[in-house]
Parts: sequence; structure tokens; C-alpha cells
Amino acid sequence: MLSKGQQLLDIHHVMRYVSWTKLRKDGEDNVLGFFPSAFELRPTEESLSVNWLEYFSGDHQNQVAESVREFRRGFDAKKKSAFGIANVRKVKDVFQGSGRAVRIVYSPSLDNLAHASIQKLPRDEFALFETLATDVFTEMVMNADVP
Amino acid sequence: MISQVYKQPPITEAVIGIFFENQIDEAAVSDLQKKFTQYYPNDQPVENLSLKVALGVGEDNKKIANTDVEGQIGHRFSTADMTELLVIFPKSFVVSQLAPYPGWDSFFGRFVRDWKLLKRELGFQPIGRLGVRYINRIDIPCDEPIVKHEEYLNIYPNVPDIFGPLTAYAIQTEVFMEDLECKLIINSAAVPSPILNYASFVIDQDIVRDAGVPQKDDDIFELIERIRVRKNEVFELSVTDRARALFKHDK
Amino acid sequence: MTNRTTGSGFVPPKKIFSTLSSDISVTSPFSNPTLGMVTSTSIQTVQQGLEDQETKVLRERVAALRNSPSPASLRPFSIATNNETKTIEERLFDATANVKILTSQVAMHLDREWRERLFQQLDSLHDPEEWEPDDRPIQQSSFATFLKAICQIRPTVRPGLGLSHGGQLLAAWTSGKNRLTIEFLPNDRVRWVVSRYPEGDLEQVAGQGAVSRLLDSLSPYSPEEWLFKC
Repeated sequence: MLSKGQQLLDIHHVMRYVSWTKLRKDGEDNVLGFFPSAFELRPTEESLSVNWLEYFSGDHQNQVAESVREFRRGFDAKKKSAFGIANVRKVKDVFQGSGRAVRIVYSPSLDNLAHASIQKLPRDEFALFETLATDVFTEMVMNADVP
Repeated sequence: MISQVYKQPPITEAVIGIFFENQIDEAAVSDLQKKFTQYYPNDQPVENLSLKVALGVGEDNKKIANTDVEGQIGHRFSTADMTELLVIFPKSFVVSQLAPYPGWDSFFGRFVRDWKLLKRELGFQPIGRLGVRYINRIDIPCDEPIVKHEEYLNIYPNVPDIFGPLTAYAIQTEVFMEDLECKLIINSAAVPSPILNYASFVIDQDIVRDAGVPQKDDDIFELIERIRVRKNEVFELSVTDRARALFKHDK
Repeated sequence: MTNRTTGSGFVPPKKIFSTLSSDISVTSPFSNPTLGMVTSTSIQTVQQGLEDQETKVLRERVAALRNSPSPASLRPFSIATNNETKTIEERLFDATANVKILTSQVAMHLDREWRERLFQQLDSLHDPEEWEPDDRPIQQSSFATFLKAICQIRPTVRPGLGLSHGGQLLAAWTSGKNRLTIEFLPNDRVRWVVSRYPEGDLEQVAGQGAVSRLLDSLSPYSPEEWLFKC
């Protein structure tokens, strides 16, 4: 188990909450994936909030379900929202390729014990965020599919 | 003059407005909202602001300027797609249609329906002014660096050729039409085009009667129909065949 | 002798017109009443003290020159002077109402069915039940750029739509793994990314620029693959 402030290992995974407006859809509103805006920082944010999947025990499926429930403990996850899952190494590789070293740090809070932060994320890199959306957060779970 | 029916009429907004002599009670307007919900699911408060500037000289010979902003609050009722609007201010009842324009029968039919409903609820209200306004926007393709707007429009500023091509203009003309006892106000201007590679020109015509306004429904409707005929004539006179060709075809 | 023009024509301005144009004396289709402009230009200048008949006539004539706001351009009223005390439902309604009115300005250039479905997508994006409170609803300036692109490109394949945190509209076209994503910014600017997988590896090209250059910028990357039905 990591301590608060420690970086996640490359083999670990992170989960990001993505609201309806940031889900990539086709013209009939069928969900296909994520928009780059799902991974952009808000003006008031310093780091990107994610969950550390390996905080939870059990197999991958169980970790995913528990992580979703942990998100829900902290805020109102909307019905049509989804969660994206990515490998830590792959997230770092996207930015290292353009000379940026992001850090993914375990940063639990009272309302989310699995919380982690992606730090040193650039603010205005549309193409890199599109790569995150396309090639890195490749696993998607719909909120409605997790009991 | 034969009225043309265009496949792509350049109308961006059509308005029939009735302005009352006296203010409608705010409570009565709120009651109206419930009645109009069946036709207009949305109700949005809107405001119409006017600014008064008073200039003068004060006691110690200092120049003073006092400003006063007056606002009128009204209700804008609308359909879900925001193309059919009804706006009620304390002293006015305005039915508006945004593009795509469905044709006169549909638009006027809606006006009659809403007017009759208002009258049923409020009773007789003396009318001080009645007007029909059509805002058209002519979009001319920019096939060349200089757009020959004179080949499409018949209303534009007349300036000596030596000035060269215009980069902006806005004109207003007012004419009194004796037979209708109405004022015709035409505003025409070059406006920023909302689409790429086009130059856009507004022809905004407002036909208004503000004296001897009919008070009975049949007379009101008859006047509006006559105004409509004149409005069509004015529009056809304001554009050329080249412009008409733009409106006739599906895009 | 009067110099009569035979017509010297009109030069469309090269300057990008933002939706904040305030130097208009007639209705500008893309003027934005919700951005704090006084829409009625009823300005009465009263000389304090004496106003003689001549001044009064002049003032009335000047007042008559103003163009009254049309119903579509009226500004939504709120007791609050900013959006923060409006309910979420009110904010979302105002935003979608404004862009629907904006769409009407180019409705004569859009297919009716396309427009109706677009409105359904906009309503879906602004569903109060799905709305994140920290997000901004669709910004008119972004939507104006989107309309310019759509009216020019006329895609037969409808894009999926999304929003950034700041209310800029995103449009996505997807063909298998290949993707075209465009973000519509204010002042007729766009940024876009093409992601393709020739021979299985990601090939990505990105750009940013004027919406008028979008089609030309995309042309080397076979945009017809996404935008038009075969």
C-alpha cells in the first residue's frame, strides 16, 4: 500500500470520472469514448483527479466496481456519466514524449480514500489530451452499469 | 405585383406588433402565461432598456451628466426550437417568427390565435400603434474580391464611383403611405455575415400605423393583410432578379 | 451635375467580426444581447432646463433613427446582474435558447431535419440532470463558429457533440478507429486533431486556425471519410 504523497507505480491503473458532456458520441448520442476535454484541467484546478485502482483488492472487475462506488461516496455521479481507465505508464509516456514529466501521486481525502492526482499536467495541449482520450484511457465503464 | 414564394426566403424574423394605450396589469400578464403554455412551453423574462442622459450645468458652473436607465420587463414565450415567439410587455403584444419562415398563412394564423386568446383574457384594450416588420438578410456569395451588391439590391447608399467600393454602410429611410395611412421605415445595412464566403445585407422594413389605429378585430386583421401585401411589394422592389435567384433554390 | 454612381461594389471586411459587435445602428444577426449590451438604443439627451421646440423636434427625429430590438434579440432578464444566482435550469435554458435563436439566423442554409436533430443534441448536452455545476453551458461565440463551419462544410454525417469546461463546443466524427475532433473557439477560431491508424500505429495531426481555413487544412487527411456518407 502506498503512503500519501507517493507516486503510483507504472504497472498501476487510474480511473477518471467523465461527465456526459465530455463523452465522445456519434450523431445519435451513442457513446463511443471520451473527448479531450475530459482530461483538461479547469482554470481553478492544479491537478487532475483520478482514482487509484489498485487501492482496492480483488480482480480488475472488482477494483473497477469498488472504485466507482468510492467516487459515488464523494459526489453525485450522474446517470449518463462514465469512467475511463488507463495504465499509469501509458499516461506518463504521452507527456514524456513531448518533454513533460507528469507525476501521478496518491492523495487520499476523507471522502475518497482511493484518490490520486495527476500533477504537472499542461493546460493547453489539445492534441495530447486527444491522445489520452484515444489511446490511453482505452477502457470505459458506464456509471449505469455498475450497481 | 405577384407575390413570390421562395424556397429559401431570406427572412430572418417576421414580427406583428400591437402597442396599447394603457399598461397591462402585471398580474394579468402572469395569468396569461398559464393560458399560453399550451402553445409556448417556455417563458423567459426579458428586458427592454432605455438610457436617458441629462446634460446641464450645475450650481458652481460645473458640467453635469445624469444618466438614468429605465427597464421594462416582459415575458418572451417560445416554442422549444425558439422559432415561434410571443413577447408581452406592459404595453405591447408582439408575435414573432424566426427562420425558417413557414409562410404567411401559418404566421398570421398564429397571430390571430394568440391575439384572440389575449383578448379573451384581458378584454378590450385600446390600441395606440400597430406594425408589421420583416427583417430580411440577403447573403451574396463572395465569388470575387468586390461584391457587386448593386446587382442584388435596389436600396443602398448612392455615392460617387470615385469613392471606390464601400466597406460598410447603414441607411434608414421613412416614407408615408397615404393609402394605408402607415409609415414605412426601411433600414438597410451591410452586416457581419454569419456564414463564410458571403457578404450579407439586411433589409429591415417596418410598416406602422400610429394614428387612427383600428380597434375591432376584423379591422385589425384586414389592415395587417393589406400591410402584408404592401410589404411584399416593397421587398420585391428592394431586390433584383439576381437576388431572387438566390432565394429560389434549395441549398 | 450630380455624380451618379454606376456602382463600385462592396468589399467584405477581412476583420473577423466577433459576436460582440457594438457599433451597429441596425440589427446585427450575430449581436449578442446576453453579453451585457443594452439592446434598445433609446437614448434621450435632454438639455437640463430649457428645451426649445427646435431641439425637441431634433431630439425626436434622432430618437426615430434608432432601430428597436426585435423580439429575438431581447435580453433575458434576471434579478441578479450575473448568472451566479440563477438556477441551473435557468442558465441552461438561456444558453440553449440563445444558440437556437442564433441558428435561426442561418436556418435558410441548413437542412430542416439536420437543424432539428442538432437541437435535440444541444438539449441532451444541457440536460439539468446530467449537468456538472462547475461547467459553463455552451457559449454563443463558440456556437457561431460551429455554424460557420457547418454551413460551409455541409457534412452529411452528423457529428457527436460535447462541451469543454468553458462551454466551447466540440464536434467529433468517428470512422472505425479513425477520428476527427474539432473544438470551436470564439472569434471564428478552431482547433482540430485527426487521429488515424494506417498499418495499426497511431498517426496524429493537429492544427489551429481560422474556421475559414478549416476545410483546406483538413484536405490532406481525407476528411470526406468522416464528413460525408458514401
